[in-house]
Amino acid sequence: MKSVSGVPQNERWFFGAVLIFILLSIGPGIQLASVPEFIGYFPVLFLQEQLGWVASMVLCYIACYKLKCTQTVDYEEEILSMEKRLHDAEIAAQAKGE
Amino acid sequence: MTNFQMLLIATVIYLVTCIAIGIWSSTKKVVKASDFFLAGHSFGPLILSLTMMATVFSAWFILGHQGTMWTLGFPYIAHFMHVPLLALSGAIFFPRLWAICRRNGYITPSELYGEYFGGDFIRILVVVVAVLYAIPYVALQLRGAGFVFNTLSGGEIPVVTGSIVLGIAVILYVFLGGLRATAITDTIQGILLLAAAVILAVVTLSVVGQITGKPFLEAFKEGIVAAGTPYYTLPALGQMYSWPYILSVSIVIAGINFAPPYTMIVASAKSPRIFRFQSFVVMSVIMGFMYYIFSPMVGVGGRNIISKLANPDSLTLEIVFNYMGPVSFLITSLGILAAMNSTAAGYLANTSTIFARDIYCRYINPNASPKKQVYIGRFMVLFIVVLAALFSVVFLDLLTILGSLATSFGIQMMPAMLAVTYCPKITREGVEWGIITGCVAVIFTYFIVRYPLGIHMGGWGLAINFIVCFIISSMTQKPAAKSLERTHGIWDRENFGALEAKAK
Repeated sequence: MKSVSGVPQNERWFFGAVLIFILLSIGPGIQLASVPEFIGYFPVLFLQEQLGWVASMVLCYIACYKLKCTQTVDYEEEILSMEKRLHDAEIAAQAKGE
Repeated sequence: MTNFQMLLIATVIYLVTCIAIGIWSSTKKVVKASDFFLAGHSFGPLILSLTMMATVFSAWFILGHQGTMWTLGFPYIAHFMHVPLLALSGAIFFPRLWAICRRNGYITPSELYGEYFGGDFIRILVVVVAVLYAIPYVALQLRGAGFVFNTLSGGEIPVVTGSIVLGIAVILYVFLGGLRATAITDTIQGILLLAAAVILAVVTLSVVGQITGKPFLEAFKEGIVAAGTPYYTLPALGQMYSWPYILSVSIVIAGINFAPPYTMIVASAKSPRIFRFQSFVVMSVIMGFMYYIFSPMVGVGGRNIISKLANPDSLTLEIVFNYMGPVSFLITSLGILAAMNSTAAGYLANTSTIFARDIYCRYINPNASPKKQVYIGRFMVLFIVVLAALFSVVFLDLLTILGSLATSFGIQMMPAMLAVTYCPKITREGVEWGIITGCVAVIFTYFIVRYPLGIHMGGWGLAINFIVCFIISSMTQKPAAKSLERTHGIWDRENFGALEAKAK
């Protein structure tokens, strides 16, 4: 039995990327940017916070539209037909009970 | 007519509209329990996304953050990363959660975890976590509404009266219309909330320009410099808002996605495609913009407008009260009330369902008809509001910390969700002992030794939870093959069996 279910080998890099993103944007990495010098109008810390948000949007886009392991769209019809069968059985059981 | 008189009329119209939606929703036919408890799985992209958004983002979104940012500056903004983390974890977990719930007809998280792991203890544990999570949240929103009414009326409306008015309106429409009414009102309230946040930022920008006579960015920069170095650098390790605290608190707040009363909404979606829009467009892009661009404009820019505040949480209300014209005053005030109303209603509707399905139907009347279940669910709405009201009276001074404890308890469900969606090696015993030790660690690292190493209590709870969960899971029996087929079998047919074959 695999320890991670339904995640293809070629998509495991994504979870590593999420971990690195977390460590850099809110973990120890953020300390590196916490210096009082300014770049233009903004402190470095603020710039890093904004960059963290942009990076998170990229990761979220990949998770939503590019990865196979986070999609269940392929099974949607099948799941809904299964649900319908469950629903019909429930209605039949109710009718029998009444 | 004064601003306050206009607000009073608008509030009455707004609350009556919410109740009317509740009445309309109550006319919908209920054939099976999910027709009421999950609105017949009918939510499309807009309703689902705005409902989830309005439920998560409470008054803290528009009152608390700005005030704390005004005080602490940029180190506080770093913990806004919980918003992108909410989006990211939603994108990773929600489509699979939807598939499991719809494929097996689960309504509540207790049904999902109870069936998957087997045994009653896990069901009860999920109900306990749901209650520990929802009650303080509902109590906080009711109390917050009272505070807002009181401030905007210049002290004319007592805090308790404001709380009671909001409480009665929420009870009525959730009681009548369940999740359907909650979602429709949340959609309207979500739009109001976003409009309020935008207006607040634009007004702040214009007032800063008027007061300082300088462009916003220049005034913004001068305000930061005047505030001193601690305002734009992280504190030393071990202090509040140093990186261990920011890391742990961001993850804990993003744990809302795992809290039982919130995860329930997932199964009400029409299709899993909706989570793309919900996670990426709404949570990541729109809410990211609100948090990373608009909130600092108000919180940090607000220093140029108001240099001294007895209560920083009143920053937003001070701007609304003193610097807005009638229309922006009305929309922003209603947006603030909507933030509290929608959070209270969302948790109320779902927690009442958890009580009805997981306590009443499971242990008292297993043969209850869908109509009977709906009746009990409605009764539970009243019960939870009374419980929340009592809670807010008895624990008045502790409400904020209890709200923070709520999110720390909510994230303790993360290993359980990981088990059903990605990690079949996690066992029932692992999850149960993980949740128990996690909750104990949360209490210990707040009440006995507060935030050891500068790490938030929820961070400690989650770390202990995971360690215990994985150690015990490695020594105990894996979930039954049937459980694995029903869950992991959906996307990992090679290892856990073919769905089509089982369906026949």
